[in-house]
Amino acid sequence: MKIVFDSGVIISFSETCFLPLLRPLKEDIGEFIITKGVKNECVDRVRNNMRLKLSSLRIEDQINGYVFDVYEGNKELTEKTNKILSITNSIFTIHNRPLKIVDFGEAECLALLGLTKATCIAVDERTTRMLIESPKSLLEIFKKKHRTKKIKIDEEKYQKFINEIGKVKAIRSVDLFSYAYIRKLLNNKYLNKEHLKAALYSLKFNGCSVSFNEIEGYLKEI
Amino acid sequence: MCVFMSYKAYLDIEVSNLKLVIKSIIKNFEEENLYLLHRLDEALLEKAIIDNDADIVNLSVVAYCFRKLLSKKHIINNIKWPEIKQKLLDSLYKIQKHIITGDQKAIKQEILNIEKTIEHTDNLFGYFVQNLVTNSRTKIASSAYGYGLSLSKASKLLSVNKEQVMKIVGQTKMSDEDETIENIKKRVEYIIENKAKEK
Repeated sequence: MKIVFDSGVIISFSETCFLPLLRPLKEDIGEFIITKGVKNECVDRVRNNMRLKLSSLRIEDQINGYVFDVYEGNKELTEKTNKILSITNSIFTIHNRPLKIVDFGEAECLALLGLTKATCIAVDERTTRMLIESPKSLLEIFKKKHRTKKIKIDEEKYQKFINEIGKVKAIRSVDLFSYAYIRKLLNNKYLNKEHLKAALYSLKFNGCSVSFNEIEGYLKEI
Repeated sequence: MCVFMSYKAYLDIEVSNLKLVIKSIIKNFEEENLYLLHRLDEALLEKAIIDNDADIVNLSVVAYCFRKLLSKKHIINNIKWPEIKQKLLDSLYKIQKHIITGDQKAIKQEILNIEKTIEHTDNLFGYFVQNLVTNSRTKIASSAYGYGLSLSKASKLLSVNKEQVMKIVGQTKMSDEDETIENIKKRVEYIIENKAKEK
């Protein structure tokens, strides 16, 4: 199974010191792919920022250790990225003007899905995830925040977007960690519910878009 | 005062009119009206998101920082504060003049000067390593994410690191207000099923 990673999940794993878990996860699941842009975002760009340098060095170790396959940019990827960027940034309109919600980095990850035939994107932030899974929920957020009903979704463009990326699912750092728990890929001391709970909460507090209810519900279910 | 009035009504200005925006920032900064400075930074952020405009977002940062400066007793009670406040107001007056001449470059430079003065003030009197401007930008970026922008888009609009925005987002109730589309169990099951299929 191929998974394209956005930088958010890698950062969440790094900030919670779970980066070493990525290797057993990759060996169990299949291929982990990142774009050069994600590598740049996690490693090169923050190299001179002492607040983030330790995290960048840890992530670089993972990349050098071949946990991630770094997809070299090419003309095809750039073209597809620009196409996706143009579509995603015109799916929603506010007062008949396009609402630009997605950045080049995320569009590149989405483009890579189509190019590598990956069926899954690992993304911790909600906008890209909701765009793939439930654009109407995203529309409700826009309506609520902008306090207007004059926000519309262009269904035709949304269909074009889905055609570009293919049938994919989004997973978050909490889902990957829970998978590792179920598959017993974790260090022994983490194989109890109390540690799982602490880990899921820690990932949430580091920015993963998951609710308290969802975590508690999952802990009750397993 | 009617409590159902929108905050735009309280502000009583059209945020797309730069001249009025600057006038309002000056007035509320002079009068130390934290509430209206806050409404201003929110309205400007919303406008910046709709217009995808980093220049407007910089004004939101200025209004936000002014409010923060005014709320810190150790800053406004300092003997040097009146001088600093005047310097910041002078920059705003200069922006007013540049708006009349239409000198966009000079407007941008003056906004940058305001940010530098705020940073300098914070370094001089503040307790924290990370300065007020960066903190403000990070907080505003998390609000932009709350408005529905992607994390990278919000971080880029505010010129801050994604890592720091993620930390702020993690401390909010944003994710708890969102609708759960698929829960953890279903997503884990998806990985298990698809891993088997693709093998």
